[in-house]
Amino acid sequence: MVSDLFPSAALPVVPVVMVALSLTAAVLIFPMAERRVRARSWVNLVAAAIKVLLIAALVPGVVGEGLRPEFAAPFLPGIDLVLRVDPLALFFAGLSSILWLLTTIYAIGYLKGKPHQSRFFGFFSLCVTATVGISFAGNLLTFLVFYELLTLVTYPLVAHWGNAKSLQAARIYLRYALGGGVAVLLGVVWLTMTAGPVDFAEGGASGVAELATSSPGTAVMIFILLAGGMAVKSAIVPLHGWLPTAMVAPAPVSALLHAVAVVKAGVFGIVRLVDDVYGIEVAWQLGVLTPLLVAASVTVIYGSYQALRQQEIKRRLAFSTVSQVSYVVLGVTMFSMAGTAGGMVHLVHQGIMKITLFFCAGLFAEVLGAHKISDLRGAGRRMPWSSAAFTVGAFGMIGLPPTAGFVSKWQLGLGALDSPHPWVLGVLVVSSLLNAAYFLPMVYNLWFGASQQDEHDDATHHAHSGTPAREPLALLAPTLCTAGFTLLAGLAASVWFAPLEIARFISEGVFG
Amino acid sequence: MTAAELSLGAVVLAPLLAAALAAALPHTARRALGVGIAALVLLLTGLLAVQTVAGEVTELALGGYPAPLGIHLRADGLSVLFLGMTALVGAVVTVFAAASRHTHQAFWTLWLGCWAGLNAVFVSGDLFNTYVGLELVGLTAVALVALGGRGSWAPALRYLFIAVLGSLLLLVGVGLIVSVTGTLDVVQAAEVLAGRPDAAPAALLALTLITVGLCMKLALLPMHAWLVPAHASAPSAVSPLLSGLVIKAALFVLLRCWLWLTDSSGALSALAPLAWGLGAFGAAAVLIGSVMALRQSALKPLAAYSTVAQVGYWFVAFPLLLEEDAAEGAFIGIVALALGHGIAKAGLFLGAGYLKEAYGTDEIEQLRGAGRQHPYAVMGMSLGLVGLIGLPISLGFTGKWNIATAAVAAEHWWILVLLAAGTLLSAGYAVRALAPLLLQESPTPGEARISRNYRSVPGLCVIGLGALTLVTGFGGVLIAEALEVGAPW
Repeated sequence: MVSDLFPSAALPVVPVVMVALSLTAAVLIFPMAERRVRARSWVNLVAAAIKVLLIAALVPGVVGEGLRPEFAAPFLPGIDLVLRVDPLALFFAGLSSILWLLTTIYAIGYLKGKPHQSRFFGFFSLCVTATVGISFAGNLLTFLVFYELLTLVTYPLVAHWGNAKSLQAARIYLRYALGGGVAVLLGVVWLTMTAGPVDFAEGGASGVAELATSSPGTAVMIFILLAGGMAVKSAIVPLHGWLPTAMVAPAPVSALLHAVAVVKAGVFGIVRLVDDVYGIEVAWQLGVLTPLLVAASVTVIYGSYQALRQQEIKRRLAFSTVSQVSYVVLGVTMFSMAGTAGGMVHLVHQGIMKITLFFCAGLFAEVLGAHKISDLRGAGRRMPWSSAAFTVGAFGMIGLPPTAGFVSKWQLGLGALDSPHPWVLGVLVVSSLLNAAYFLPMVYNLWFGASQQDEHDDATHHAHSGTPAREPLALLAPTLCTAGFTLLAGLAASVWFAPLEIARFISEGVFG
Repeated sequence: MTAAELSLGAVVLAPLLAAALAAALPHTARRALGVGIAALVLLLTGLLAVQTVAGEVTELALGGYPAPLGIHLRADGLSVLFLGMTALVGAVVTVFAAASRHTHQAFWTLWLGCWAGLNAVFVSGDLFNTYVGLELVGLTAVALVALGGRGSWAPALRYLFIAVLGSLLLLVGVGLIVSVTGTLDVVQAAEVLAGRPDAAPAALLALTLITVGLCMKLALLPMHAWLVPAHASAPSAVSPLLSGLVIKAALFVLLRCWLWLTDSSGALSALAPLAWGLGAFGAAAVLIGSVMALRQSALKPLAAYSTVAQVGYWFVAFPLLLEEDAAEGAFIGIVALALGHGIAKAGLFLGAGYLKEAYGTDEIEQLRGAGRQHPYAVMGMSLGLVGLIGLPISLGFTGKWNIATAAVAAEHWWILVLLAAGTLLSAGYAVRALAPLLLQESPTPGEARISRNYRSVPGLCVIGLGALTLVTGFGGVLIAEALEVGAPW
């Protein structure tokens, strides 16, 4: 079946092409003159669209026929750079390429007429290159290479506006991320020396399993280094400090950072570490899962609590990310098949829901100048479509049916009951209540809050504030798409290519 | 005589003759000559590299007289790697100098002479020619610094003292070895030393003298003070050569003496205190150099202090050279770091020099927003800094990886801590240097217009070195294989 789409000799090249595609886009975009908006948009969109098509073409072969296209190039003595497509890789790459396409459209609309676009889209493409590389990485070293690349290229994106505040935020981000990166590097060096080069393998790498039996102490230390380093990017408390400050970035960057790029790369790394490096059985026997589970639980609750205290839209969303992303860690560390599936499906579901919310936040800020939650009052009448999308995203975050968030939480709940840690169900319930406590007031403000002008001004203003504002199509269309995905993933969760089914499939592989 | 043997001699003689010829030519012709010689040296080095990759050590006895009587040239893996790096960086900088309006007319004779000296050091099979080559490199380098105008004369004089003193110590050490072994040839001397345990104390003294002398030329902390003003005040096309290439000659000789002269069984263990001393100074250099780089407000001094820090990395790995199961990894690591530094630092200095010529200053505050007008130069510098931090994909990463794995194998955990600290500090000064150029707005409003010739040849040279920093990052395996050719073990 796949041979219809790719000749078998070309198959190993596909992951390289995927990485090269966004890299080429970056190289083409950087030297472009500022005013060549059309050419830049074309390069961006064509590259993004090709990538989505390639991913779609890979799905039947990798998921259905069990093919594992692999490309290896010698890099360091004894270790290759390996790009391999397995279901988990495809899962993450699919998320990133679809959201990249949508975010590109959004960003083109968002940055219209603003300076430094070539630089922005150049680094934006590099950021996606790194994300694709992370998803296809076939061993820890390759993962590390793209992980560090991601750190570097997101720095100029966070600091894009170039004012003192964004430079400071970007510097804080870089400190956290590089510190985490160094920890990962040390862990990889140590692991390579004690267990040999580590290839990702379903059920764990054999060398690591041997190490875990011969010297468990070392194996635990290495796990702490690796997981600790990745916890920085995945913003697990107390290493989350950079995320709320990084909110000064332009809206599409925040959207990408929170949905697919940085935060997700960290979580994806933890998933790989637990499932494909150590193997969930080995990790369980070493006793490293429970501390990680506890850290994730604390993060889930603490993030929600902090979100509740924020009065700025973007900051509230940022702390919400801190909380929501840890659901994934929660899922993969609770040591049950249903839980792992729940964590993995949330990898995608959180991405589409959170990107919807950030798209909306950008829309509100651009059109209404709304930055605080109180500014949202009455926005539902002025921007009905954006408000509807925001509502869908918020309901998803709370976990109300029929959204994707409900599917995630349901699956996680099943996993918790099935796992040795039934108390995690309590964490889920508390967190959902907190989610509701900080999202429902925003939704209420949107639809039922009287705008401030209503309260203070006379009738002429009243009429004006009630009229719909123009919602730019380039910004609105991607938002509605992701909102639609949020609903679809919830309604059609049992279709074979729905995220939930693929997550279950991967989870079965993890538990062998 | 095969083509490879011919290139072994020509790689030294061609730039040397061209240096003499350049003095007699008019100014424009010198530029053409320089570029032509650069192309020729690249070609010759390529021929040698092909031979080496095939697994053969290229040797040539000049005039047919074998050692110990005649002059013996030898190119093994180590030689070819350094020759190759020098040829790549040298060629790019030559093109830059030929295209720049600011190149001093004396630059060509001095630089070609320096290049001949560097190549002589790299292919020399005996210690005396090594000394002569180093002396040629040192003297031309001092003169190149002095081309920077009145402000650079004092640093140049200081550099001269250090260079001469270092050479003197080297010469005394070499004399000691000749008196004990009766030969100047490195390989023959090593054989004699291996057979005569009673000569060990003299050899140890000789190696200590040589090491101290070379460390002065390498600006290992605490003998680094001369480097910063010299490298920072040199002309734009000269600083990359000094930081990228000239100090590598001293490192090359040091590796040659440590690994080839001493036979790996006995004499090396006597070097342990020296190696640990070097390691300690190297560690201090990494930390202090990086912190000093962080505190600079101008690009070129920042880059110069970064060199001080990077020199430290090479010495940090010296204690590992004595450990049996870590020596090879550490050796590969040092070479990879040195080669990577040669390319990356040349790119950084070339970019800084380019901006200094364009704006008349290298103060970071004054260069805010320069990335908009000179995107190629600033991008090239960014890529160079990626290599200097040691992030993948670059030889800096490969080198650190090798040293880190060797350190784990030998269980010297402090090296890991130091590498981590050094990496974070270097990221700090990289951001300090780059963020204003890349991200902030220019201080003088209304000049947002991009200068017309921003894709000029000098800008392309800078980004060329930046690209080389990344591309060579894939060469880790190649370096390891090349070093097997004529390896000391």
